[in-house]
Order: sequence, then structure tokens, then C-alpha cells
Amino acid sequence: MKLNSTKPLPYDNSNNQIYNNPFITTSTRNDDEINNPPNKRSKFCTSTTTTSLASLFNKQNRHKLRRRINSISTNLSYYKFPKQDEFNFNSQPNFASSSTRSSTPSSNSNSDLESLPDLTDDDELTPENTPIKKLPTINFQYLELPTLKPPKFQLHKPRQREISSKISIFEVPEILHKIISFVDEQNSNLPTESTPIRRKPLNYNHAMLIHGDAEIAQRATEEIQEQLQPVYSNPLFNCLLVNKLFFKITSDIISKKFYFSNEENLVKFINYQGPKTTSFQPKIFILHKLFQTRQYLFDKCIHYISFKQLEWFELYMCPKLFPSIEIFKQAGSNLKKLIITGSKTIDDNFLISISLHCKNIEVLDLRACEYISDFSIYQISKHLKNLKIINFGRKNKGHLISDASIIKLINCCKGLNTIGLAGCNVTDKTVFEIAIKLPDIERLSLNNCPRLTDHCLSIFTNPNTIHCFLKLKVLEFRYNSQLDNLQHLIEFKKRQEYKNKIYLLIELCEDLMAKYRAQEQELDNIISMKIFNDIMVYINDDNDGDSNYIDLLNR
Amino acid sequence: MEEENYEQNNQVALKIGLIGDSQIGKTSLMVKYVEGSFDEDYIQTLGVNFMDKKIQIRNTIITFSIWDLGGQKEFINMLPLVSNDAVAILFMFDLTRKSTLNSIKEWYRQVRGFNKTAIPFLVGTKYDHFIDLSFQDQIEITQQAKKFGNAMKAPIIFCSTSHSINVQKIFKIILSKAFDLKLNLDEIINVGEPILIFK
Repeated sequence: MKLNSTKPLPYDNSNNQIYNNPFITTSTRNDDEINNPPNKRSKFCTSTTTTSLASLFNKQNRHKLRRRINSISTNLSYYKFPKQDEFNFNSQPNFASSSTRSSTPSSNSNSDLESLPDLTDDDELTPENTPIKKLPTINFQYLELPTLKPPKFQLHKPRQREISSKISIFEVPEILHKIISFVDEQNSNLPTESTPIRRKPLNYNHAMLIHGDAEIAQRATEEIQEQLQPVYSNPLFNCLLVNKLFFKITSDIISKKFYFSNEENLVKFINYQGPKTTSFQPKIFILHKLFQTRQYLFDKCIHYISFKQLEWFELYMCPKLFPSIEIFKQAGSNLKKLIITGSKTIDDNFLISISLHCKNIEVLDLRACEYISDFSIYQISKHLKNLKIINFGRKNKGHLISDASIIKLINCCKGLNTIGLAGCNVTDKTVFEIAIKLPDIERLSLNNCPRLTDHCLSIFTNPNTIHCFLKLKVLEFRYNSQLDNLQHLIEFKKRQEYKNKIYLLIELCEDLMAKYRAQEQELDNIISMKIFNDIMVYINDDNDGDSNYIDLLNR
Repeated sequence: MEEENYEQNNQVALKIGLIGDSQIGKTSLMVKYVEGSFDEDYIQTLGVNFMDKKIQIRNTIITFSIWDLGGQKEFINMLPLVSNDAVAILFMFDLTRKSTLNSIKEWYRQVRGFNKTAIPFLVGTKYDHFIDLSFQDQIEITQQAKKFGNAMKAPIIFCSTSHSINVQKIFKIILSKAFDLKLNLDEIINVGEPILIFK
């Protein structure tokens, strides 16, 4: 028996398409592989010699065939595995017997049958006369030319061969890319701060003031912010192990996002990474709550990472890490989102140099970065014109941020829609500037701004600023106990709801909320009195349009 | 019912449901009140009719949302649509057909299943035909209506849509009841007259 395993089987239909796919190649087999039982498939998948499921199926077929030839009665027609040629992608020329399945254009004209080795002379049971020939022919499908090309994988044009294939979608890189991207979307859980619908009430009384219903208030106070559980079993990692094509595409997708929320894992990664491991070119770079992580780990970790495509850089509560300017030089104008919160390392110089390199930043969240001051905010307003969201909220050193820089920023970035100035030293002037300069403002946080006075509240209902704050949805005034006249807020909320159909969310702390409710009640009473007076006039007006029944009776 | 303050205008919205047997003039009353017109032709209500009437009084705009349920039994499944959230429900009957008054009992029971707070009103229609009945019949119907009204704790109003008798007054009484305001209007209690009992 001289059946060479690499030769095409005689029952192979000649109407096969050779589709040049750089990721799927038929492998060169040796007898060892053939003798491997099919239950070792998974091992094959990851091995370098076998690169596609198709060749695996083939191997099984061959294995069976061999048994058949050795007079073991197995009905091969039972097996419906795809045949080799259906998956015979243009392969390396150094085939075990390249003459049989030549991929050179010169042999294209030869039909598969013509290029078959002559096996008839030495064995009676040649593939030619085995019952295999009677296999039902397969219904052929023409493979549509892919129209969309993914960025990284290029398909060669299929050769002009007769097409017969049932190519699985898992072998078309474009489709596979979409599938794995979907897996990524579904399962990759970026460790980011979740946005609450509204802030959690400070205590039960506060909740009662907000909701006015004991049961809802109870629930609101008990509600625990959902903790983001790190996901350890991301199916993406399994995708890496399927075959070469899967590996290539999956690693490409994985390398787009770089995130850690656990120092242990980060250390593992650093120990494994090297020039040969997957090179990360992340669009997203997130380190989440690595409170104790040291700078040297960070330096090691970014050593092999290229930041050329970086769009989103986040160091959430990693107080000891200082991201080098080099990162932002590389990212350049790609960077859209910069979130560094609770950092004890970054300062004015850092922020200014970033603004020189990354001019397209839209989201700038520097909460609790206490070394950032007016100086840098004033400077960056010259460069960052596309800012949409800013947050300089802080607990300490609020005096470092004042009207001087914020007003300048407001005047430079007309597209701002979210402003967080909790704990800053801003005054009513800033609120006024926001009102008249930022038509798109949607969310405004002024928690714990001790220099605000009642005047800033009157801006919301002032007839001169009636065209301002048209899109405002969230307004925060917690811990501003110096404010008294909340009637303006009540009126503004009603106006927003009635005129602009926006249900404004006003966040207040407990004492302000109590004031708010009392004043709301007062206002309601006044309005009700007015309404009742009006209705009294109406219902007691004798001239109501009804006829006098006496006329009818006297008819 | 909601109250809004917007640019000096206070808004009040009230939902009113009209309930009762078929062909007693629920739709007619609604159209008469909202549009001021009356049409002799009968058009059966299929399901539910709905109309809005806005009244501006100084700085207050009152909006009556009037929902009118077809009298046929097959529309009973739409009753929640009409009765839910209604401030007042007008239980209507035809002053010339005693059977329609007797059905009120069942209608009342049904409505109360959906809305326990709405203020009930007992409204007799076609007063202009009613005065042509024999005095004996008028006494009987009036007394029966008073009995029902007392049992339901509902104001009793006889009205004529075609002759504009007590149409506006129905809605004024609704306002006075809904906001608990004093109404300086004389009651009419004598048999043969368009009854107006609301105190």
C-alpha cells in the first residue's frame, strides 16, 4: 500500500475551488499524524503543522480510508466530513509531494484527476476502484468574493478554478473578525466606573426627602453599588486556541484593549511579556484601582506596548503611577479620552505637556488630582479646543481651581456638555459664564463649592437667561448649605420639564433637600391658591352658556 | 390631576369618564360641551371616544379630558381605559327610559372595580323629552333617580343636550367637587324641573 497521505483522494471532486487564504494551509502530514486517533483533535488545533479544522477532518477521513483499504469494513459514505480539496487553500510549495497538488499556476489547467499519482499498478484496492467512488456528490456552493476587507487580513483573489466548496464561515477572516469582535464586545468587561442613575442617598431621611415613599426610600438606601467583578474566563482566550486564523484574529482584537484591575495579574503579565509575545497596540489602556502598584511595574508593563493607536488612557485611582510623556507623544492626536483620577504624581507641567501633544482630547477627567491648578487649566484651554467633558472635582486643595481658569476654559471650549467642579473655588461668575457661553451644557456638578451664593441660583430663572440651560439634565448642588433660595431651582425644574420635556435631576444633600421640599410645598400652595381662586370665579359666573329651563317649560 | 407653573399660566388637567347604556347621549353631551354643537343623528360609538376641552380663566388653564365609552356590552373591556385615573365619572341614563336608570347599578359596580376614588355623578339626559312624559312617570323617575343618587352619594343632574340645559353646570359642579370649592348655585329639586342636586 503506497497511498501517500498528502495526495488527494480519488473521490475528490475536481470542481474544487482553491482559495488562497494566508491563514489556512493544508499541512504536510506524516504517518505519525495519520495514526493519531481523532480524539486528539484539540492537540492538533494548536500545533503548528495543522492549521485548520478542515485538514483535521481530512485526516479523519484518511484514517478511516486507510482502515477501509485494509479491508476493515467501514462504510465511509457515512462520514460527511468535508473533503480535503474543499479546503485545500493555496499552500506552501514545499509539499511532501508537490507534484500531486501543485499550487503553481502552470498546473492550474490540469484537473485534479489528471494530476493523480498512478497507483493502479501495485495494488488492487486502489482508490479508483474502492466503493468510495459511489459517495454522493456534494452540493456545491460558490463562495462569494468578500467585499469588505478587514484592516489586517488580506485575501488573495481566488484562482480561476472550478468552485466546489462548503467553506465554513469560520474560515473567512472577514466574518471571523466580526464574530470575534462580537465575542469581545459581549464578554470584555472594561474595569470602568459605572455611571449611577442618581447618587445614592446619604441616609434614610435623605432618601425619604427625595422619594417621599418609605418603601422606595428603604430600597434606595440599601442599594449597594454593584461591584465590578473581574472576569477571569473571557471566551476570547479560548478563541486563541482554535486554530491559526482564530489565533491571529483574536490576538489582534485582544491587543486593542489593555486593561488590568488587579496587581497580581499585572505582575503575571509583566513576567510573561517579551518581544515575542503579542505586541499590544491598544486603543484602550486602563489600569483600575491599583492602589499600591509601584512605578517600576508600570514602566516594565508599558515597555513593549506601542501607544500609536491609543484613544483612551485611564489610570483610575492608581495614585503612585506616573505615565510618562512618551506615551502621549506616541498617541498624539488619536487620544480622545484621558482619565487620571486620584493621582498624586501628575502636576501642572504634566498636563500642559500632554495638551501640546494630544490636541483632540474630548474627555478630561482629573478628579482628585490635587496638584492640578489654575495654571495648567488656563494653559490647556489654548490647545484643547474639542473638550466635551471635564471634571476637576476634588476633596482637598479646592482653592487651586478658581474662576480665572475655568472661565477661560469655558470661553475656549464651546462644545462642553459636562462640567464637574465639585470642591472647587468657583463663584457665581462661573455659573453665569456657563449659562451664556455653553448652549450644550447637559450636566453640571457644583457640589461643595463654598463660594457660590443664592445669586447663582437666580441665573436659572432670570428672564435674560431664559434661552440658557435648555439641555440641562443633571444639576448637582450637594453640600452647599450656604444656599437658601431654592425656589429658583424649583421653578427651573418645572420649566425644564414643561417647556423642554427634560426631567431635570437635581442632586442635593439632606439639609438642602429639606429646604427644597419645604419651599416646593410653599410654592405649590401659592399656585394652588391662585388656581382655586380662578376656578371659583369661573364656576360662580352665572353667565355660563346654559339656557334657562323656564323657557323650555313655557314653550 | 397635575398642576404646573409655566410663564404665569397654571395648568390643571382633569379626566372625566362618561358611562351608561347605549343611545342615551353620552357622545352628544361630550360634543355639545367641547364644540357647542348638537346633531340629532345617532352614531353608535365603537369603543371609546376622547375629546379635550381647554378653558382659560385668568392665569389658569383647565383641561378636561373627556372619555366616552360605547354603551354596548361588548365594549365593557375598554372600561379601564375610561375609568382609570378619572377624577369624575358621569353615570348617565335616559330620562325617558327607566331601564337605563336601572342599569346604573351594574355600571357603578363595574367602575368601582377599577377606580375607587373618582367622584360619581348621576346624569339624566333628554330632559326636553322628559317633560313630555306623564306627570306620574316624571315623579317615578325623579324619585328613583334621587334614590340612586343618595345611594351613590352622587350629585344628581337632569340635562338636555339639544336645548343646552345644565350642560355647563355639570362641569362646574365637577370642578367644585374636585377642588372642594363652594358653589353659589341654587339647587333645583322639584319634580318636572331639571333636577340639580349637589350639596
